[in-house]
Amino acid sequence: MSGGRRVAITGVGVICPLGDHPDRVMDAIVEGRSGIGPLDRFPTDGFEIRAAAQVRGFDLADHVQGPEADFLAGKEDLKTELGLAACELALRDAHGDAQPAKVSPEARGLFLATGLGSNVVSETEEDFLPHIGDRGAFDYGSAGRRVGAADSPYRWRHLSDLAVHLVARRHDVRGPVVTNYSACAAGAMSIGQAFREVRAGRLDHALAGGFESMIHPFGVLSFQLLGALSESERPLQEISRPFDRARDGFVIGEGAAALVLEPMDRVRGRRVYGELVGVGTSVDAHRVTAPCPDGAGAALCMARALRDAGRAPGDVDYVNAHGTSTLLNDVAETLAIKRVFGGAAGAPPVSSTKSMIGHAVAAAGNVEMLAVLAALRDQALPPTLNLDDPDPECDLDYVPRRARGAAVDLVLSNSFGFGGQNACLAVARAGEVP
Amino acid sequence: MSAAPDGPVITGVGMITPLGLDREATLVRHDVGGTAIGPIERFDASDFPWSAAAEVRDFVPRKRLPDRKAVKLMSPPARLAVAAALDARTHAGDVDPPDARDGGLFVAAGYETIDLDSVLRMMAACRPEEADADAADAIDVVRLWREARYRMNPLNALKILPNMALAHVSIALGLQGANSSIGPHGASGLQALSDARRAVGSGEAPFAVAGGTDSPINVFMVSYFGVEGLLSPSGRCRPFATDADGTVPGEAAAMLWIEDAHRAADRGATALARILGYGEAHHDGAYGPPVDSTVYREAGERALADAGLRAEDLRRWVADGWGVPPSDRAEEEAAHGLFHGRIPPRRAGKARYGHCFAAAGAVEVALSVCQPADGPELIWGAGVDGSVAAVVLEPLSRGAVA
Repeated sequence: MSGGRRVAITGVGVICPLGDHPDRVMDAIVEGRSGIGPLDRFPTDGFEIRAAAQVRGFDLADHVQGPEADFLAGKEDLKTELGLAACELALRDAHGDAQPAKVSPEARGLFLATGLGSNVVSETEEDFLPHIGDRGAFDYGSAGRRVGAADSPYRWRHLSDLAVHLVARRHDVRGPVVTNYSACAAGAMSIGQAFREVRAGRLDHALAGGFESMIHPFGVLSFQLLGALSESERPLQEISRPFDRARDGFVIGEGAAALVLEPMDRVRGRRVYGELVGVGTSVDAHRVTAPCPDGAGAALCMARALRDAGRAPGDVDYVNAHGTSTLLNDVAETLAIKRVFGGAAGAPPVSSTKSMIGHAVAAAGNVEMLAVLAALRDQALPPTLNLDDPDPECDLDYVPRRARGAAVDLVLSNSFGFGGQNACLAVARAGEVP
Repeated sequence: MSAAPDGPVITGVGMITPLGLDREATLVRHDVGGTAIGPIERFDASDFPWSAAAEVRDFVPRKRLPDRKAVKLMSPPARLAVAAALDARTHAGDVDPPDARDGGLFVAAGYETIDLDSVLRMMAACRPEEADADAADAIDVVRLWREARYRMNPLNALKILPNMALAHVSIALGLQGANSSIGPHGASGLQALSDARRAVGSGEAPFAVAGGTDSPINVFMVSYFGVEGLLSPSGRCRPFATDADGTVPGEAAAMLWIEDAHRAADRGATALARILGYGEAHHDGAYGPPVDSTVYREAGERALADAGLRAEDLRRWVADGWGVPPSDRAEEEAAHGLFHGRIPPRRAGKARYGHCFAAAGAVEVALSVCQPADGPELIWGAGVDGSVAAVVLEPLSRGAVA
């Protein structure tokens, strides 16, 4: 156990397929509503992928005004917009304002997660196609002359980390600004990094989040070519079915979420969603193409999170699983949980929110914190939708189909990434707040 | 110098840079002088306004990396990272650590490097079948699904995901401990080293491999950085010079072996140096390297406070020195303020090996570990995201390290 200050979650901002208000998103998770629908952001004739958990009805102007919003106008950069909005909402939720007025800018930190850049079709048309021959040869001379022209189209757009800079500038963060630039564990990693800084007393205020949108043709294609996405012909909301025998891949999601982390002794009567008590990370060191099949690497991060929190496996009331609905992940994660908890009999209930909101990739660990906080708020276990016929190799209590009331004081949240990078967060009910 | 240090110490250095394909070659050329900057050979940049780079040349991954099948899945920065990490492990003499399961890994990686040939073949096939002149540069998404997608390498995403350098290093070295993959900017390499220092210092990891890797010499990054006015049209990076006109992209990886001092002593390893202090600050200006001296100075002051030292204790200043005049002026002004006018000898290396972005900070620390000053030194690194990181490095081993 690392000791140090208690760390409170005092603000939550979220933009995800289930909404843009933390309590309403938590309500939806406990009620088991699905945010999955048709993949309709671009033409899909001839494409096997039919489902996505898209953020719908989002308009940055509803949440953010000013130079950063102006900068993004017309850039079709949904990923960056989601990140900017979620951070704004988290700060307003914690402080009623976009600035934590009582914390000096130097004592504030920003820790955001992101993955690959979000290239949209229009950018590709402008930047690539004019310079590509019919057989794919690239005319570098043409590209070089174009990029040097006065009206060069190349500007800072669709860069993976653009939101980090915009958020830091908008909210006057003068302490550390760290971009967790990786894959599906990035979101949990970003929260863990921020948590450590606040716990150690190096920061008095941290904004920790992640933002992601891979729902563009090249992004969805990347995962489809890897065989990671479900091509099921079931009704759309039944496609993501973690731990079910008939699962065949994940549903691509998107979104952003951010938490405000502060030392518990600075809360002073404000709402505390939960208390971060531990973080653990690990690497499978197995293959980049598949998780370690026996779950050994994933188990390490859970065990480390518990050790960091100074808690025992028997203290855990619920595990919010990575639970992608892929054949390999769900079995490996089940084995990992059994390693940590001494078999199925000792394991607490487990569920996967990806059955409702798909896989938000680099932001998954951030958005899924809403399920963790919902469990703590409502003393209820969020369900795993569509778990009708459990895979015999997935033999834990996955809270199928409907939420269940339970005493929930300590939760683990898993995030496992491509390449075998794993992170686990331990979150507790806040208990006594000074 | 401390005779018996406590806490995390650096016991191994690996690097692959434009100056040389391993630590020894880099140090030899670093001693000799001269620059590795030259015309871009990685692609035909002759019609680009910025056509110079510091490239790693003649690197043959199959000769350096043990798993030839894995090489096919690696992007250029991942290959560099694995080579540098293996180099660091050999240098540390810690070839088969029994505690590898807890060994930490902290990697800063630059922007993703796409597999251009594969993507171009796909995109060329996305044009509408019956294209008139106006539609020739349009993407027909339905053609993407029907045929164009089959021209792309199906494992493309696994090659370019930003954490793949970390993943491949973990596999090559069997490391399963605490980790993070951060990036993609000029302060990121120093941030990764700080993360490793904290992980080892807190006991979270008995040892860690940490550093940065970047390979930004491609049409996209050259275009993006160039259009923002950061690259040198003359192709000569001249930090702090009156005629400086921008930086030059470089590629490199540098990895350090960082372990608890007692662990190092127990296995008879030499403690080469240690990170004595670390500080970070952020400025709220426009996208680009900081042009406000305050942010450099704040990061430096925080690093000194963390080290428990005063500016007059420092024996060298390793400048960030982009070669971008407003940024260089800000850094120089910060140095004057921090050192109260008594500036120690300065090293500004980007004129010789370009700006290696996410790898830059780790390269500077690696060079300083191997060619130490006669006391603690300050190393600054800044990114276009506005972050500045500062490290106070203390040599623990006298003389240059081979």
